[in-house]
Amino acid sequence: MYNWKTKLWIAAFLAPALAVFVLFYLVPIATVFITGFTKWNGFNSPEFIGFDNYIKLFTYNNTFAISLRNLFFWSLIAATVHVGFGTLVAFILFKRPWGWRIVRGTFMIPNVISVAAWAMIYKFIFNDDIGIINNFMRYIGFSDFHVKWFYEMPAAFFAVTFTWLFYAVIVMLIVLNDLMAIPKEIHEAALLDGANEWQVTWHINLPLVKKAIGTGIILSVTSRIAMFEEVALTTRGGPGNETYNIPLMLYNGIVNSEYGYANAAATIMILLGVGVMALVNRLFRMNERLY
Amino acid sequence: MLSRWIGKIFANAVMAFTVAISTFPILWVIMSSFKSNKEILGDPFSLPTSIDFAAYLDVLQNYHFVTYFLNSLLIAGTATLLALFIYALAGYVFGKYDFRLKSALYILFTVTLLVPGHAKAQPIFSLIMDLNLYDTKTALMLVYTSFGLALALFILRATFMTVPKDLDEAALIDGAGFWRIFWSVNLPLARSGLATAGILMFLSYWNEYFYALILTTGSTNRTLPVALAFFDEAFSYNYTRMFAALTLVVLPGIIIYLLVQEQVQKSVASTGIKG
Amino acid sequence: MKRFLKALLLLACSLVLVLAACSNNNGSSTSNTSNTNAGGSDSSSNTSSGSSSNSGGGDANQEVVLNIPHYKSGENVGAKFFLPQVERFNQKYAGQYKIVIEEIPQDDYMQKIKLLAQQNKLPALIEGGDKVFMEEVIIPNNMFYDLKPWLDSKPEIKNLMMEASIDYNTTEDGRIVSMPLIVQRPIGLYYNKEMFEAAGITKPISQMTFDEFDAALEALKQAGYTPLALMTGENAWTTMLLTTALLAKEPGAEEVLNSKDYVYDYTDPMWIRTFERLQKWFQNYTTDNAIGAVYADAANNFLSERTALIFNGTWMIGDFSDTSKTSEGFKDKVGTSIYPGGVAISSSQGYTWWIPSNLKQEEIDAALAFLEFMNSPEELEAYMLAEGGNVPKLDTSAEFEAQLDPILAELNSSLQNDLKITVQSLEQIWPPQIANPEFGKYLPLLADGTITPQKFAEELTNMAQQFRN
Repeated sequence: MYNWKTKLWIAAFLAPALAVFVLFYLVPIATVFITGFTKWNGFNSPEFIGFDNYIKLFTYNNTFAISLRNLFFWSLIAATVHVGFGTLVAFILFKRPWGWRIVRGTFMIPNVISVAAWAMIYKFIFNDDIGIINNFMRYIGFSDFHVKWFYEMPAAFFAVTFTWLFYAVIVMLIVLNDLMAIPKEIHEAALLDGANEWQVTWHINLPLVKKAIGTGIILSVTSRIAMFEEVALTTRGGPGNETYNIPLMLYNGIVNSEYGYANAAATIMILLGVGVMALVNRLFRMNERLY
Repeated sequence: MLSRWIGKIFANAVMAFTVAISTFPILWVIMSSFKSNKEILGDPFSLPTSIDFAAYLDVLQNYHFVTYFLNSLLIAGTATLLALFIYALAGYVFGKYDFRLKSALYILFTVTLLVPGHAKAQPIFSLIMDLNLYDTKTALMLVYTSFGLALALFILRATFMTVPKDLDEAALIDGAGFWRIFWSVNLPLARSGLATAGILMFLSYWNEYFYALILTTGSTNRTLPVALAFFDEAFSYNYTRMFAALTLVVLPGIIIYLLVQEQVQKSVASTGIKG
Repeated sequence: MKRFLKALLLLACSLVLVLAACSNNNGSSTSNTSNTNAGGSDSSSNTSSGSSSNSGGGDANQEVVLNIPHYKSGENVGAKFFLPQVERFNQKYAGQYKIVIEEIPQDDYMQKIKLLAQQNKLPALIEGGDKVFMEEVIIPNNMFYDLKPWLDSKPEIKNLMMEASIDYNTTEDGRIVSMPLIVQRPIGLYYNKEMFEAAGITKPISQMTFDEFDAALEALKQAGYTPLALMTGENAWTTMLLTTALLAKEPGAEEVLNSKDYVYDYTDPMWIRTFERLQKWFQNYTTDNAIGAVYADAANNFLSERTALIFNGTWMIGDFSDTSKTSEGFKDKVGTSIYPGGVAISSSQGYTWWIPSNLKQEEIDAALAFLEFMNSPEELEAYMLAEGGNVPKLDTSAEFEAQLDPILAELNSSLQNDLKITVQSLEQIWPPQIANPEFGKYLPLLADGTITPQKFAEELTNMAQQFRN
């Protein structure tokens, strides 16, 4: 199709990105998969031990089970409340009510701040002495309200959840964009046929943004799988090991120089992410053309 | 028409709620940073009795804040430029040419989006060590550049696809070579896509915490997010200073964002749709 | 122009590939210059951009700068003494040696050292190391500088060292890994004399049994004072000390606490009884904010007179007269003692200062000079005046006796009169993961009764065994 010179240029243009991909994705992921089956402390060479790391991860104590439990609930909450809220805001802003730009603008702010900073801010918000939550509760009459948010269960679980729960600006933007892309003719046709606003929203708009909602779910659930700062900088996985998650187990592995173990945890994270995407794709039949 | 009213009230309530939870935490931190420790412990809701910048000066002068700021700036900036260059090249080719393995490669590249960054922590750590780049800004620049792969490629491919083929052909007739067509014809027209990708990448690099934490040590190459963790111990229960530090770390990101708002909104939405 | 850009492009591509292909190479570091050892191995100290230059090729006329990351800096309680000491060293050796301290939070110190060790970039001076790290990584791989020849040449220092500590630090083949201990610093507790008087407690703490101490705590509470300053954050330091003291008087505990190896099992009844008492005291005798409190909070509680007691070591003494942390005259209210039952926490086991093996000669000289400086009689006396402790073999000067802090003197006499058992702290026999953060993370659950002391012991045992090799 092209002459050899052009082909060379194409190759040259692709080379840097390819190099990045190989160096920072292919090789690391392969390493992660392979060393998940070894015992390795970073100093000596890895030694093959089969599925021992995985067995240890799953069965050693209940930490992995708790991590999965937490992931399950957090994903559920993410897929429903988090994405739901983002979608809700998107539908509201779609009508361009007064001040919609302000809402869109400020909603983005939590996302442009480092997650670490955000986690730390919330640590102070939930602080018993100076934090707004407890002081507010005491103010409105619960004078004995001294919940130690990050140190009791189930408070700790919910406190961690709250740091990301309503901050759904990405979902909102994706859904909003899809909404705005719906051809006006469809709306006009429906209105002509006698449908009211509510019916248009529920029966036409919602199904048409299915793909966006699906994408939103994928993005938010994979964020839950990889969530690190929100837990590490607040509860450190506590109290006990109640708010543990998989990235924390990975981090423990690295800190204790058990790299094989850490990478087994990493492999699980990757598989979960891929699994979520496949599942959501299936459920939402996202590959179909809608109109 | 009651339902209309309810609908409107509900909508406004949701909007107000959204604005509140997005801004209140930060406003509270900023407000508290001007209060003395006593005032903070006394009543978290009260307004500061005086605007005292002493804590800010303290943090800026005595805690290498400027160093961390410049580190973050240098690392995020360089990584962004490098990434833009590399991914513009690839995006151009993906957008405008067909070749064997094109779809296979594209799928490979975009699947990387699914891989949680933290999962690669150990191999990347070893890689940086093997390259003898531990505790250098270069290490972070390289690692961050790689983070932008999927996102930048999305955006830039789409951008280049919008540059009309006719312009390419016209340039070809005029005798321009491959590089020339890219550099002089397409690139200038891809400005908005480049800006979008650049801004998104810059913001994410600026805020990155995990890799900055494991790839640097000591204060020479530390970035702002990591510095926060250190401030936490250093300032222990001197809340005023801690809040001042938080504000200083958080503010640059917000300011940059406010300046480039429009671009960011458009870009994030358009990426999602391709996903 | 076209050619040039083409070349630039190819260069960019190849740069990345070249970086990948080369291993073990002095990579393109933009901010750090790494020194290469004459022997060819990687360097250990990083130069910080700006201040002083590092001697490149062994030029003896240039100042040797050692960049040492350390946690005794910033607001850390150990910085009070350590930083001025470093300054004194720098002044004494101005133009010859200079030590620059890089701040690191205490919690992260060991982890950073481990990472640096992997990179072969250890700083010239390292303080401490947990057993596993030293005995499975540093010693077998010969990553330490043998101090024996140097110590043998400095009998005035070697003779001050405690035999048990020299023993501990000597490898099977006779090499000395880290500086054996000279100063013995027992850890005790501090109490607010005024509050104790008001509660009518007259018996010296070190002579009480734990039941009597329990009654004393109740008396304090009845008098309106919160007795204990406990914490669960970071390494739960004060709580850990309390738990050690509680455990020490159990039959069989002394041996366990003085074990040379890590202890991984806490399910024996003596542990459970200890945790039971700990749970009761946590629930009844401490502040509301103990859960989640870090060291600074616990210290603050005692210093601002919100609690009557704090379990802590002698380095805290400086804080008592620090008016930015406490009120004027607070120091006079502070009494000190070893623990009830005559228990003192002290240890001669453990690794202290050591030097990595891959330094250039002038860096080794500088590091050794600092070690020598730290252990000179004047500096030892300064250390003891500031942070307490005693050196059995050192004849202290008259000035020292005169300057000795009354609180330290009180501790010394408590030791002399009432000492019955000396044990190591739990932190020393616990695997590192347990000491920090696991113990602290499970404490809130124990404290609010969510788990029983039995369960607490089981969970910790589980966590301890997880990364056991």
